[in-house]
Amino acid sequence: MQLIHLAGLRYLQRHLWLTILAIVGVALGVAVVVSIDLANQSALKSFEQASSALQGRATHRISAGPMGVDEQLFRDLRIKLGLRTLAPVIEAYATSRDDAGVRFHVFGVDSLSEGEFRDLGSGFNSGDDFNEFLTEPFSALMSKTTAQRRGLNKGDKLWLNVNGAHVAVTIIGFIENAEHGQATWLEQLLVMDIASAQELFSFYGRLSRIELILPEGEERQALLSQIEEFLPDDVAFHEVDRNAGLTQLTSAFRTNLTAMSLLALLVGGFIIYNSIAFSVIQRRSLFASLRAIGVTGKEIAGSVLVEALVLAMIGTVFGLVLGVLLANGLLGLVGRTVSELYGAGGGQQLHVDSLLIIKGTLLGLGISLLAAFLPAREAMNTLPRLALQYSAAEEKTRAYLSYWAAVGVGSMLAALLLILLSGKSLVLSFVALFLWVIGYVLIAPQLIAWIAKRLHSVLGRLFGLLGGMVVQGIHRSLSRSKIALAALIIAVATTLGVTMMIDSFRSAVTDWIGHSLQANVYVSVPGHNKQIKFSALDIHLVQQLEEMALVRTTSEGRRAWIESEYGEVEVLAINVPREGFMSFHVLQGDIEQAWQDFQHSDSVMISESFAYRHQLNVGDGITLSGGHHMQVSAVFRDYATEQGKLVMQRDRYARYWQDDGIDTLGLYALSDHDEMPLMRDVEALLPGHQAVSVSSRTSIQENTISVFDRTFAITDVLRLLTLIVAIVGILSALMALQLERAREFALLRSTGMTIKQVWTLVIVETGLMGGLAGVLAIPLGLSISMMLIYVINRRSFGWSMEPLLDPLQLLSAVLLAVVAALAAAIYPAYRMSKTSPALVLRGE
Amino acid sequence: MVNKVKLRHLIAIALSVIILSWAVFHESAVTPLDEGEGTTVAEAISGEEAGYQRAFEPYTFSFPQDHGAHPAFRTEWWYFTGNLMSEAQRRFGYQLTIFRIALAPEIAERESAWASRNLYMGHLALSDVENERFYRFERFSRDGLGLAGVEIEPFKLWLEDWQVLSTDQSFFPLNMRVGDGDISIELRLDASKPMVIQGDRGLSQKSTMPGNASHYYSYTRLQSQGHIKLKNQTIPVNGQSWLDREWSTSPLGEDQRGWDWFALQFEDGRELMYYQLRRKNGEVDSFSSGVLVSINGEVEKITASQIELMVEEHWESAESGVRYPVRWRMRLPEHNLDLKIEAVMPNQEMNLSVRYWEGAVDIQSLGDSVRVRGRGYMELAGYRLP
Repeated sequence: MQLIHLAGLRYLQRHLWLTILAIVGVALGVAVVVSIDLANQSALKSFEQASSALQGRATHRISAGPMGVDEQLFRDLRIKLGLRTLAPVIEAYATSRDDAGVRFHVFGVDSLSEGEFRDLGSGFNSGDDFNEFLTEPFSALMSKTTAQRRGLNKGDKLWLNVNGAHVAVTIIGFIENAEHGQATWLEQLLVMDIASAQELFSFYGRLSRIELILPEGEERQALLSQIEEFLPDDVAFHEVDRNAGLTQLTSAFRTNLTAMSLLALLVGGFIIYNSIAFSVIQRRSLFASLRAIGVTGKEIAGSVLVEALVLAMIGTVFGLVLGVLLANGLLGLVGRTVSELYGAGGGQQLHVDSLLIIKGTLLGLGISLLAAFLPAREAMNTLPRLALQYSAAEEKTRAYLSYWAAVGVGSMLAALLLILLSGKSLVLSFVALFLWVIGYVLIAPQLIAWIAKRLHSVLGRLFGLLGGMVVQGIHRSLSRSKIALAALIIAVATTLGVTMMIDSFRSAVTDWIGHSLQANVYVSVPGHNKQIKFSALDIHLVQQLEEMALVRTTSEGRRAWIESEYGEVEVLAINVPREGFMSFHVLQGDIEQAWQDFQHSDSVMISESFAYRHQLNVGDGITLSGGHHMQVSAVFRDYATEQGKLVMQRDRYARYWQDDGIDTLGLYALSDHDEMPLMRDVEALLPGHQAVSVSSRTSIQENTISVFDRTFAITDVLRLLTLIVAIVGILSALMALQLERAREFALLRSTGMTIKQVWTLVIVETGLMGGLAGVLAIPLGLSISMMLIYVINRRSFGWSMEPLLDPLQLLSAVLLAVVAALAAAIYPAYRMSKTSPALVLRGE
Repeated sequence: MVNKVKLRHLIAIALSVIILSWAVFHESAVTPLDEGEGTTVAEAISGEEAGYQRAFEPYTFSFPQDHGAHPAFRTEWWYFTGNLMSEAQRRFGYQLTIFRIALAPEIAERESAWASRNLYMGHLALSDVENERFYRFERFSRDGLGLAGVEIEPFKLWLEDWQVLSTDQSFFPLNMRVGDGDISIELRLDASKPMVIQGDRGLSQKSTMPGNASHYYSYTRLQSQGHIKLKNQTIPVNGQSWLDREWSTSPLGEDQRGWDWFALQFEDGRELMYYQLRRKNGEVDSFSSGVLVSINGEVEKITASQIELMVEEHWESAESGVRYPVRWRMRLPEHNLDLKIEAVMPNQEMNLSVRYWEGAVDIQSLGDSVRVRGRGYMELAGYRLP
C-alpha cells in the first residue's frame, strides 16, 4: 500500500471516533431521506392502488344526486340503447358492530358486468362460490390479510352496523391480487353482489353510479351524443378523470409528505456534507506534512477522495438499512393518518423501489465526494508552507462570503417573486420555500461575521481579552463552521416554522370547533356514507328525542353529495335555530343577510376552501343537479373538508332532491349545565331503538383535537428526527473545529492561560455560535411559518388561519441551538484541558 | 386481465353443467380457459343436482307454458339455427342459443330487484359463406331487473337486447332481433310443420342411469324471412330455421365424452335429426338416437343400430388447435339414404367460454341412394387437443 494511503488509514485509526462520526453522519443523512421518502411513497402507493384498483378501467360514469341513480337506467342503457360495457356500482361504508372504529368499504358489483372493469373475480375458488355469491344474501369477498387480522375463515360471519342495524355478512371467499403482488389496496374491502349491497344498505332501486367503458375516437363521439340524448336530466354524465379522485383525495396529504421529504433531503444533504468535509479539513496539517515530504497535491487529493468514497459507502449502506428500518416505524404513523383521513386501508406494506435506493446512494456518495473534493482541491493547490497556516483558509473564505451573500439575496428575492407569480401552484410554492431557505443560509455566514464584529467591542469590554478572542475565533473559523451552522439554522428554523404553523392551525381549529358546535348532544347514524343517503335516523326516535324534558331546541342535519358544475360537492342541509346559524364564522358576506337568504331563498353558504378552489364570491351562483340554481350568500370558515362544502336549508334540500331523512340531530340543552344529564337521558332512551351514536359537544371537541394531533404526530416525529440529525452534525462539526484548534490552545496555555480559562473560552465561543445560529434561525423560522400558513396551507387546503406567535417558542429555538452547540463543545474542551501544551506544541 | 379470465372460467364451469346435462360432456370441453385451474367440471357439478327436478318419465307437454322456463330444472335452452339466402344467392348460416342456468334450486325471498336465481347465457353466430367469415358473440346476464328472462303470453325471450318474441297471442310467428356492434339479424320465423316431440314421448334418455335425461321438443322447419345487417350493408334474406327446446338437470355417465349432432333439412320436405354420443373409449354410445320427420310431420325414430356415420375429413382450428370432423358420410340403409354432410366452410368454431363447433352444412346424396339434397346444422362437442 502506498504511503499516502497508509497515512490516511493510520489517521482514521487514531481518530477512530471521528471516523465513526463521519460514517454516522453519512448514514443518518441517507437514512433520513430514505426513510421519509419510503414511508411516504409506500403510504401513497397503497392509497393509489386502492383508488385505481377500484376505479378500474371505466372511461365514463353516470351519477346523480344524493339518492343515487335509478337502477332501471342501467337496464334501459343495456336493452334500449344496447350498450355492452357498463357496470353498476354500489359503494358505501359500514362499521364493524363490535369495533366502532373499524370501517369496511363495501363495494357492490354485478360480477357479470365486471369483467372489463375491475379485477375482483379472484375470490371464487369454484363455481359453487360464484353461485353462492349471487344467490345467498350478504355473501361477501374479502382480502385474505383483512380476514386473517380479524380471525375470519371462509364461511364465517362478520357483523356490521349498518344504519344502526346489525347485519351479518358471510365471507365466502378471499380476494388475492397476484398482479399487484400485495393486497394492501384490498384492505377493509368487502366485495358483494349488487343485490346484497342494495339489501345491506336498504338502497333498493338505486345505484351509487353506473360506469362505462367507451371506445376511443370517432366511435366515442357518436356514442356520447347518443347517451347524452338518452339520459334523463337529473343524472350527470362524466368522463372519468383517471387522476381526479386520487389528486383530490391526496393533494393535501401529498403536500405534507412532499414538504417532509424535501426537508429531509436538505438536512440529510447538509449532514453528509458536514461529516465528510470535516474529516478532511481537520487533516490540513497532515496534508501539509505530506506535501513537505514530496507527495504531490494530486496524490493527496486522490487519496482523500478514495477515503471519502470508502467512508461514504460504508455510511450509505448503514444509512439505507437504517432508512428502511426507520421507514417501517414511520409507515405506521403515515398509514394511520391516511386511513383516518381518507377511510382507505392505510397500507402497512413497504414498497421499496429501486429508484429510491439509487437516490439514497447517489445522495450519500455524491455529497460525500463533493464535500471531500473542495478541501482536497484546496490541499492540492496550496503550497505546503501555507497549508500549515491554519488561517489561510479563513482568509479565502472571507473573500467568498460576500459573493455568496449576494447569491443568497438573489435567491430570496427570486423566492418572493415566485410566490407572487405562481398563482395557485403548490409545487412552485415549494420551490419558492426552498429558494428562500437556501438564500437565507447563504447570507447567514455574512450576518454572523457582521454580528461578530459588532460584538467584538462589547465582549471585549465584558470579558476582556478573552471576550475579544472568542469573537475572533468565531469569525475566523467560519470557513469550517458555516456548513454546520447552516444545518443548525435550518433545523432550528424549520422546527420553529412548522411548530408555529401547527400551533396556529391547532388554535384555529380549536376555536372553530368550539364555535361551530352549538348543540349540547348530537345523535347520528353511525358511519357516513357518501353515496348512500338512505341511512337516516328513525323518525320515531327523532320525535322522542325532541320531546325530552331537558331539550330546549334542536337542529337537524343531512350530509349529501350532489353533482354540480364543479363536480360532486358535499352539501350540508340543516335546520337550525337562529342561534345555531349565528355560530358560523362568516369570512365574507353578512351573517344577518345570510340568515334571511337561508330561510327564504335558493341560497347556499360556501366554505372557505370551496370559495378558494372555485374562486367564488358572495353573490355568485352555483347550479346543482336537477338544474337548481343557488346563490352564494356567505363564505364561512370550515376546516372539516379540504374540498369544501355547501350549507343550505334542509327543507329546500328535501324538496329538491326528494330526501327527507336526516342523519344528525342536535339537541340543545336547557342550559350548558344540563349537558351531562341530557346525555344520560338520551343514553337511557336508546336501548331498543336504532343503534345510533351519541356524543356530547365536549367529547366531539376533544375528539377533533385528538384527531388533529394524531394527524400531525408524524410531523412531530420528523421534526425530532431532523433535529437529532442536525445536532449530530453540529456536534461533529464543532468537535472537529475545536480539536483542530488544539495547537492554538496549547499555545495559549503555554502563554499562561489556565485550564478554567480554556474551558470558558471554548464554552463561550461555541455557546455564542449556537446562540447566533438560534437568533438567526428566528427570522427564517418565522418566514417559513408565514409561507406555510399563507401560501402552502392556503394553496393545498384553501384554509386561512391567523398566525399565532408564542414567544416561548422563540426562546426555546435559541436555547435549542445553544444547548446543541454546548453539548458539542464539552468533549473538545475536556480534551484540551487535559492535554499538555508541550505535547501538542512539540509537533512544531 | 387475469381475473377477467378467471371469472369467465367460472362462468364456463357453471355453464358446462348444461352441456353435460344435455348429453355427455367432458371437462376438456371447457379447456379454453381452465387449463391448470384445478377445478374440473365433474367437481363443479357434483352434488348440485340435489334440490332440482329431474327427467324420469315421459312428459305430457302443455303449451304455451312449456315454451317458457322450467326453473325446477337446472338447465334449459332455446336453440335456433338456420340457413339463409339473399336474393343474390349469397349464403348465410346463423345460430342463436339462449341458455338458462339455475344458480341454486331455490333462494330466499329477497328485496333487491337484482336478486336472481338464474343466469342467462347467449351464443350468437353468423357464417358469411361467400367471404368465409365467421362472426360469434357471447353474453351473460342474470335474470334480475328484467335484464334477461322469458315470458309466456305473449311469448318473449330476451337476454338484454337479444330478443325473440311472438307477434301476437299465438307462439308463431316469432320475431327475432339479435346483434352485436355492426352485425345484426332480424328474422320473422313461422312454423311450416308441426312440433316434433323427441325421445320417448318427450323423455330423451341420454344414458342408462334413470334421470339422466331431458325433456325435448323441436320445430324442425321454420320459414324464415328478414334481413341481415353486416357492417354497412342491409341484406334481405330468407331461408329455413330449426328450433330445439330442451330442459334437464343431470349430466350423463362419466364414460361419455361428447357428441355429434345433426339437424338436416332435405329439399324433399323431410328432416332428419340425429345425435351420436361418443364414449371415452372411442365407441359410439348405444343411447345415440334421432328422428326422421316426413313431409306431413310424421315422426319415425332412428336408433344407433340403424345408422352408420363415418368421418371423411378433419379440419384443425388455427385458433384452438382442436381438430373437428367437418365432412361426414351418413348411411341409413333402411331408408336407402347415403349422404355426404359437409361444412359449408370449415371455420365455424365457437371458441367461447365453452368451446365447440357449430355450423351450417350441405347435404348431398351419394351413389344409388334416394337422390336428396339439403342443408342443415351440425354441432361437434367434446373435441379437444390431442
